[in-house]
Amino acid sequence: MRIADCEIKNNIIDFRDVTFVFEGKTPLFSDLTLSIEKGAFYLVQGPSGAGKTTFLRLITRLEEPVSGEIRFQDKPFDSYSPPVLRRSLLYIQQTPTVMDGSVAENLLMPFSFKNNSHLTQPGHEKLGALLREVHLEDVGLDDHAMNLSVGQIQRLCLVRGLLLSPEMLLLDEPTSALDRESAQAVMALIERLNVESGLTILIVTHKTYGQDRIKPRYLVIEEGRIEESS
Amino acid sequence: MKFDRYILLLILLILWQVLCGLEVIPTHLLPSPFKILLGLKDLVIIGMPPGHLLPNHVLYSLYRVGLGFFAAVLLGIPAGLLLGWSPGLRRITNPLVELVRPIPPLAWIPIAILWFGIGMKSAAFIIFLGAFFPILLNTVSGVLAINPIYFEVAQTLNAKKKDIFFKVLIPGSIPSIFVGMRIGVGIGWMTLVAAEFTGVRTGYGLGYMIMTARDIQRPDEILAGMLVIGLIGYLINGGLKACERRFVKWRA
Amino acid sequence: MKKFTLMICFSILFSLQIKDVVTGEEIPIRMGYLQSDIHQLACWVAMEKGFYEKNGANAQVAGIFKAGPEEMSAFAAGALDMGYVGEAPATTAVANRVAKATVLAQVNTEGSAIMVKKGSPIQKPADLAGKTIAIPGHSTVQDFLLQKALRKFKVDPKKVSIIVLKPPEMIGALKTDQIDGFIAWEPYPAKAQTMGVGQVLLTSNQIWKNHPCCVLIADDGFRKLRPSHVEGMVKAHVEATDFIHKFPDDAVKIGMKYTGMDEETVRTAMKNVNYTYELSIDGETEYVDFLSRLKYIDVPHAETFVNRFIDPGVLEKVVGK
Repeated sequence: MRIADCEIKNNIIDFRDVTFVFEGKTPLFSDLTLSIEKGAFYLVQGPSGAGKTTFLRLITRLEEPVSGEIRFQDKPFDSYSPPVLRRSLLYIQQTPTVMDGSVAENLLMPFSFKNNSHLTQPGHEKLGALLREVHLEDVGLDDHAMNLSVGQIQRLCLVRGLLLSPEMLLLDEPTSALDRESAQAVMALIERLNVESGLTILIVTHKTYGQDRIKPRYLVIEEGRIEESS
Repeated sequence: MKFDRYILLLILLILWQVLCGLEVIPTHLLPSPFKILLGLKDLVIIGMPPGHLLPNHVLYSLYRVGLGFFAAVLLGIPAGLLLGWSPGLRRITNPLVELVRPIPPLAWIPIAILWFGIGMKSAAFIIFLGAFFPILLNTVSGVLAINPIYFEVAQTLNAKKKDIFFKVLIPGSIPSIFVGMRIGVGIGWMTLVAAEFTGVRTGYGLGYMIMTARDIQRPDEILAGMLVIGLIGYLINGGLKACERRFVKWRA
Repeated sequence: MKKFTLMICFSILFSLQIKDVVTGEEIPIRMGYLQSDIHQLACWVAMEKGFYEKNGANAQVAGIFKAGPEEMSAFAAGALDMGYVGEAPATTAVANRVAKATVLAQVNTEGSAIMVKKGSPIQKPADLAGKTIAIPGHSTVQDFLLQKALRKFKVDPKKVSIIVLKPPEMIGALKTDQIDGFIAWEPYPAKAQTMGVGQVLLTSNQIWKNHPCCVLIADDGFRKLRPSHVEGMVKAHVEATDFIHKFPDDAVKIGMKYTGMDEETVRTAMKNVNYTYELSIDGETEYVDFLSRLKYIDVPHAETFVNRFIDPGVLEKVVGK
């Protein structure tokens, strides 16, 4: 066994000397180099303002680094078209947001986008099944989405993203508005997706992780550095 | 009780009628409410100028406003959506818009007649100018008022620019667009009367009717005409409001 | 507080009623005339030659109007004391009880024309059917003359499209074919001719021979308060009218000054106008009849109205002297 072989990892995301600055402020990240392993389960933690959300946004290209390179599956971001990246790396924002319309309309809206035309639109049974998994069985497909509670909308946004079958899920505080039971259901679903479907998971959360089915890896962001720990 | 709101109006009307009856208010300066109603009857039966009846004046004026207003809608809403969408376009066009907007439509009348001749087209143009800017600017502000997160979520879900324009931008601006349309039609209606003071070719139009009533010295008919104009403006506004309610209901 | 508000309300109401009761030599007589209307040359002559001052009248121009009905609105608002105005709009305003004024002297007879475009296919009055003709306003002398001409030459008035334009706009509109013809007071017909834009279809003489046109009117309230000034004004008018006949070239120069038009236009215009101060009761009766038939006014007893509307007394006194 050569030493070089031990070095080979299967990375989905690589940061190489990435520097990121918000205009007029001190750099958030300087010469950051790290790798996200495919199929792993990460929890991103750190004090508020440290840059947890920005970290996710850099990965989903909602922000651009000032210098350095980010790679997806060992090729630079620039070599992919934006639709391809977004299909694979799904970002679910902290603020749950739905459009004016029914629950079904909201869930199926991405399928009306031209970039997603290669995907088959799921039927109502599949929608119902997913809603049940996140404890939204009481919510009807014809209900007005904007009338739901914040916690219900939060779960709805998760389901909407999952319907697009991404390779990696980046979640920003996905259970912040949920009661204990619903939070557990959501985390169970995410874990199942990681174990059974091999989705890479990156969750920003301030909550402590109580399950022991999966051993999460911790990325702690503090003062411009990201350290991995267990 | 529903009639509370009308009490003030009623009191004013009675006071007015009494003051005219006692000739405290000279009747040639301000005819009494009763005389104005009689004037209204004359407008319907005899017409002003004689032979030109009120309903036809109303129809012609509505037609002129309709033309100008729909032109303003057809141009103003798409332009407003585009300007809301693109900060670059907004920057380039802003000086032009802010320069032209304060010019009162009426100041355009001599130029309008020069360009379009006397008749329907120049009147519709004046009305178009009055209605265009409220529609444009309210559409732009409607777009700008959309919470940016909606655009970002759509982007995250892999929407193309075209998808965002049609599925996020337009639905989000609709309430403001309706406000702009109501203001636009109101200003258009107000501009109409003055636009009809000069250069009415057909001999029909509410502004023309009032001008003729002035020529023939019938202040009762002038005021009756003003009443009709106010009433129609009120109805148009109410009609648009009802449309707005039904449209918003359908969306929600 | 209530009493105070009540007092304010009443004082406002009363002040609306109080008129200027103070009389005196120094208070000017507010006069009005029509813009660039060569019929009213006597007014301009009297101003230029100082006839008003000579006769003890401090006449000040309080308004120059684009058409007769506007001048009558000024009378209705109490903004004018005396004025040179068309007999038709004056009759309409007084008959509709909007103004209280009396005719004291004639200013001119005739002096209008229906003009069509030079080379127009409209050769005779009957050709007016289906055409668009401009008038200075409803119930002006010109409106009256056009309606009379249509009926005289058996053209259905409903077949003629009438459009209201101010005379300065008429020539341009004719030139650009916005209208097929117009009727206006001199010197606008003359100007259309000298500009090579229009030709005469009918002169007002051919529509109604010797028809009275402009008159000198006085506000009734003003007459009551200052009769001596009224007399002075009428005397100045008589002198000015005589001047036009005695010194036509000087009169032409004054006409050029007040219309801003060239000599050829003014001379041509003046040829079409008959300057006289002699009142015509028959002429006014014709106005009342016709305006009633057009439904502009509703006068139950034409004779009573005419006798009240025209007062030849002042003129007789002045001319008799």
